[in-house]
Amino acid sequence: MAGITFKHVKKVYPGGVEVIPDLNLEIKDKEFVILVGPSGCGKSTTLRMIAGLEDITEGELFIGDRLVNGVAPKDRDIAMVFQNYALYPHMTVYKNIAFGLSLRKMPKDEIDRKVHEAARVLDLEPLLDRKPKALSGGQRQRVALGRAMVRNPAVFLLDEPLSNLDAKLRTAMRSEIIRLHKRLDTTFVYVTHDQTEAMTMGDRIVVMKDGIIQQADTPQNLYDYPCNLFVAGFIGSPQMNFIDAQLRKENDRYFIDFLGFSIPVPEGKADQAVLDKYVGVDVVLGIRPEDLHTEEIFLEASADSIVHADIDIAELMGSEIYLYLECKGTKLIARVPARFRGQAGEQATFALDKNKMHLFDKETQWEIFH
Amino acid sequence: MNRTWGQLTNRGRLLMILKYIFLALCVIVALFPIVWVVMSSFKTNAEILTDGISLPTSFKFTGYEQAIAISPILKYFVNSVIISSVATVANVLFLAMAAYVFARCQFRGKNILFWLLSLSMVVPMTALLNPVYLVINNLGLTDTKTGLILVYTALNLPMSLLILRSTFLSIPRSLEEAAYVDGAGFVRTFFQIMLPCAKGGLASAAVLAFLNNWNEFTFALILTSGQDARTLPLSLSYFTSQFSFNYTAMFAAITIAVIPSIVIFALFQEQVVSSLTAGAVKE
Repeated sequence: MAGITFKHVKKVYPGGVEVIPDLNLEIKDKEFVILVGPSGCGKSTTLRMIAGLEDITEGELFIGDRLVNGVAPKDRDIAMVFQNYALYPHMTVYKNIAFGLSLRKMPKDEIDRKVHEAARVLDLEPLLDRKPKALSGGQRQRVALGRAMVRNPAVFLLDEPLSNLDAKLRTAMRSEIIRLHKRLDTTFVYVTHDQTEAMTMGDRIVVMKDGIIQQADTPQNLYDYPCNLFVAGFIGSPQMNFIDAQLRKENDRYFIDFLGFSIPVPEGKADQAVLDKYVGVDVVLGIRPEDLHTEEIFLEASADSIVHADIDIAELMGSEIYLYLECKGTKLIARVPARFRGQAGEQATFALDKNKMHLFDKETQWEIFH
Repeated sequence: MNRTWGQLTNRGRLLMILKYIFLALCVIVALFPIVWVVMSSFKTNAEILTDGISLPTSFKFTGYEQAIAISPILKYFVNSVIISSVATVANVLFLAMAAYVFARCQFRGKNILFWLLSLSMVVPMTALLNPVYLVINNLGLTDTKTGLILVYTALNLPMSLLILRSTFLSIPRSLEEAAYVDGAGFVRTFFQIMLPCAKGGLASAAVLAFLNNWNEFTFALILTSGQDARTLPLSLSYFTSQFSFNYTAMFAAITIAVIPSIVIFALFQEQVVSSLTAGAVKE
């Protein structure tokens, strides 16, 4: 069992492409950490550096207390699940799972016991004699999990393991992996570009962009308190609305002016000194779709934060409706209860939840308050 | 695209008929010599000389008996099997290793080296006769099976290298990475994971190398003199030079020489074709 520590790790590919300029990250023992970000953000490279499949250009990487910069993958006590499963096509499911164990000279009967145990957990027992070709996508992924699991590694690495599966199977496998983490009680590092996977699975999410960690925190904290525009836009679906705005000060009170509306900043949201700096400066107002309310009770209670917008499209999702809105040329999305009766083409009135407003510096993109 | 006969217009039908006539002609051109040789091997000399394309009046194996009596064809056949097989195995084994390195490893001068090795494909074989003879002679390997095996192993280098390299390129890298993570080293990964995955390419490189070895004449002629290392194609020259009047025996000998290569190609034809186009499209 081991944690993972990155100390000023830098990765430059041959040809001078710098993917990761300076990575510092500490993953605790037994933690389930998700690396998430758009393609090319360096999340897979980070995972592959842990696995030893990618050299580290500069800096230090520790697994447990051991510096592993020059250590071969086989000596790192890790197991990895690949996006395309990477099962050995000429071996049966049994041999695929047993391969790593037999390389470690484990006695035959112990291998047999471990393979059958893993097969039982993953529901693979009837398939042990099949070749990967004769398996479905979900079954193949379970074999890949089994192969990693039997080794009892200190660190379990997963590189977008669900991205080749269909939506239904993905949901099922998601809970299977969560269960596996509980059962194995070991460190998991999971790479994905899917923010739903990130939100539902990890103890902690590391959001990356251009090789730089934007924010590393629990799913709830990332959602509620994103540190910058990128994280705010990346986490959450449908994504947060961003509206160009300006901060105004009047009689010692602060107001956010946008699209012809003006909403007061609730007391205690931020220090006066901080807010004073941004008066008259371009800022971005962020508001999540579920914080635009249509119910009477909200409208009455929030008379000072009313916004009107035209409904472009109303998408019924069953339990709720996604409203695609337009307000003076700016596109917005609201997520309202299914009992909402507005139609496309009509104008609707919303109460903005003032306490859930986020304000960002337009220039630096960092958050001013949340 | 594929419309049935009834759905076609008159012009379409005409084109279809022409297409099949053309294909039939191609088949005849390709097959006729072989059929003719096999048929003639059962005819008497007189039959061959009077009517070249008639069917044999009776199926007698006298031609084969004579062929065996006139030339040491069986001895040569065994030589051919040994030399072709060993050279094929050696060629495919060593070139699989080389091709794997070319497909996966990064090193200085890789492209130039690969280009140089492929370039040997365009050097005419006759240009190699003298230097190869000198090398083999200096090694003291003239008139030995080992000498021919060495030459044949090298002769098929460019073709096998091209086929095997593209085969290895088409195998996903994550397979090796999975093996490394599982605890395999470079050599084990190659032999236990990559070679089995490259089965198709190995088979087709082997078939092409074997056919080349089996049919090779020039090097076998200049590098051997006695009976111990001579191969099947040389036995055919026996008939034309000394006994050219016995056509039956000659055709029988040719049949003995070509049948194995036809059988091997027929067995592996699909693999050869598919690996020559491997990597052309995403599967």
